[in-house]
Amino acid sequence: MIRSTTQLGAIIRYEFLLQWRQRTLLASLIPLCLLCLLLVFGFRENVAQALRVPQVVVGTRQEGDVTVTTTVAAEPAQMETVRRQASTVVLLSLESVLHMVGLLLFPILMADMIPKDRQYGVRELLDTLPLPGGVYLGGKLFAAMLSALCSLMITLIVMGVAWWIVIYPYVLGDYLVMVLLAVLPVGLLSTGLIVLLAAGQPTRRRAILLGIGFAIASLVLVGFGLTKSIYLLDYFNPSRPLAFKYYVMGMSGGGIPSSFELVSIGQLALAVGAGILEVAVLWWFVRGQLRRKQS
Amino acid sequence: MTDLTNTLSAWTRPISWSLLLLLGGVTVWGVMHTVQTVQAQPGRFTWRMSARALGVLLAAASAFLTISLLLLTKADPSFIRFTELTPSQVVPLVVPLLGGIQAALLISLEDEPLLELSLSYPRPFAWLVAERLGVMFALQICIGLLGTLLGLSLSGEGNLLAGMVSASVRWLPPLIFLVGLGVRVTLSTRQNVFGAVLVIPAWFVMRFFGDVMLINWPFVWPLHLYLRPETLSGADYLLNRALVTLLGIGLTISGVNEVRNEEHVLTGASSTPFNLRRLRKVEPS
Repeated sequence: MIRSTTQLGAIIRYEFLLQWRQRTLLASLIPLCLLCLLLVFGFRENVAQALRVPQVVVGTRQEGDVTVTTTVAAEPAQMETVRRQASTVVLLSLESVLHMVGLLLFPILMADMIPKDRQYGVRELLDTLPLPGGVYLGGKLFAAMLSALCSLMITLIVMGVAWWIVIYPYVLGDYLVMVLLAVLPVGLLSTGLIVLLAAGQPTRRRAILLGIGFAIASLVLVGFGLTKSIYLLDYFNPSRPLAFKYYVMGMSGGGIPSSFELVSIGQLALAVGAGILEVAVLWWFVRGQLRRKQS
Repeated sequence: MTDLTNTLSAWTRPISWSLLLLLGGVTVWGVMHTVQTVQAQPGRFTWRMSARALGVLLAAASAFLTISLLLLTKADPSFIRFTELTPSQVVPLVVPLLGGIQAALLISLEDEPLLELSLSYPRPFAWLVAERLGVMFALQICIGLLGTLLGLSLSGEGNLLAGMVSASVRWLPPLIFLVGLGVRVTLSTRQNVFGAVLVIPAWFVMRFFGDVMLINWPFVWPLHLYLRPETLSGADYLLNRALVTLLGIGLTISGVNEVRNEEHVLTGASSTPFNLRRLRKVEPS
């Protein structure tokens, strides 16, 4: 047990170092940070218009299938609160962007993590060592997730600080909920899934092609999850459409038909749990495949 | 649009024309150099091997996605309402992205089998890259043209020829640019994953946020890959298309130029004076 833990720690550490030295971390960090800064400065004018005359909702009414809200200009005392809420709403709408980028970027970057060893001939050497297949697989998986986590955390901190300074102070609690229940799970779970799915590929090129296929399929699967009702499969959909639905459809205010079932925070948390279960089941399955190959 | 055009003409148009001339010169140099090389070593093409090395998977995916989305836009009106995707937007959405990814995965100097053997041949190594690029372009352009034709037929367009020309002007420059970007980054970093990783965000930002960027930063209009024809005057729109195309060609030429240095192809180092001084410092005494 102690030996397995030590081996796991060693694989995670050195694989993370390898990701850093091969500039994989930078390749994910730089586009993410640039994109976030672009969004912050790009949206500045749009948000400034939205924040100029804060509006307060005084009533709602149903016009057919659509809910229409009536607003009036806010009193000076309410302006600060309304501006903060408006800033938060626009910030949270950016979850859709980070969601898409997380689905597109990490599967391609991390797909070749295990096939790389086979291509370089290191895998045969590892097979001669007293390293259990489960520990090897777990080490690679956690190292990939750690790399993705570092990139995402730095990006989210940069975006959060930039938004606070450049645009307007937002509601910090809502931002943290978005980070923990939407952005981080999308990036980490898609990384975990692709590392395990591509584990059996013989070459890096095929693994990267699989990563690209996974990324494009994830984009298409987001659309399948944006239905009127919430189904059980939506929790297990690898593109995490419930997070997209919560922030994009929930934040867009009026214009969404009342027949659409909106997502709650509890359901978001359940979706994260379902994703972790998916990764665990896939890990167990791939570990079995590796054991059969080794024997 | 009038305000945008007035803002632009102040200083961005002369700069855009200068850039166009510079890139045009680079393109002419590249074409002349290619013709001279081909004339010096005639009959040394290996199109079949290049096609086999390239594979058909991404081209097939591009064709499949294009046709599926076109049929969906025709068959399901709610799909158009939800995605705001019309038949004329399908080819510009799919083909440049998958062409750029395919270009990024064209060749990985770190993983290319028998690299040393290929470098020992009298045929320049750059030809291998150029051949694969040629096959890739041929495939993606065929898919783009067929998709455009299908899209125009589904939309009930009357004048097919005029429609083909105006539609092709929308997707061909982004395709050339993203291909150039993918090739340049892949050959500079020696790993095709970095090329793919840069192509995808570039496509994403330009496709979905290009117009928002234009509102906040009007001066980026010459480099907007997905500029809509109605945004600017006809002359400015054509200037944008020409600039994006030549920039893509320039990036491709620059990328192919990287592999003329065999030391860079093999080891990633280059024999510039700066690197030679660095290498001398670590030499044993």
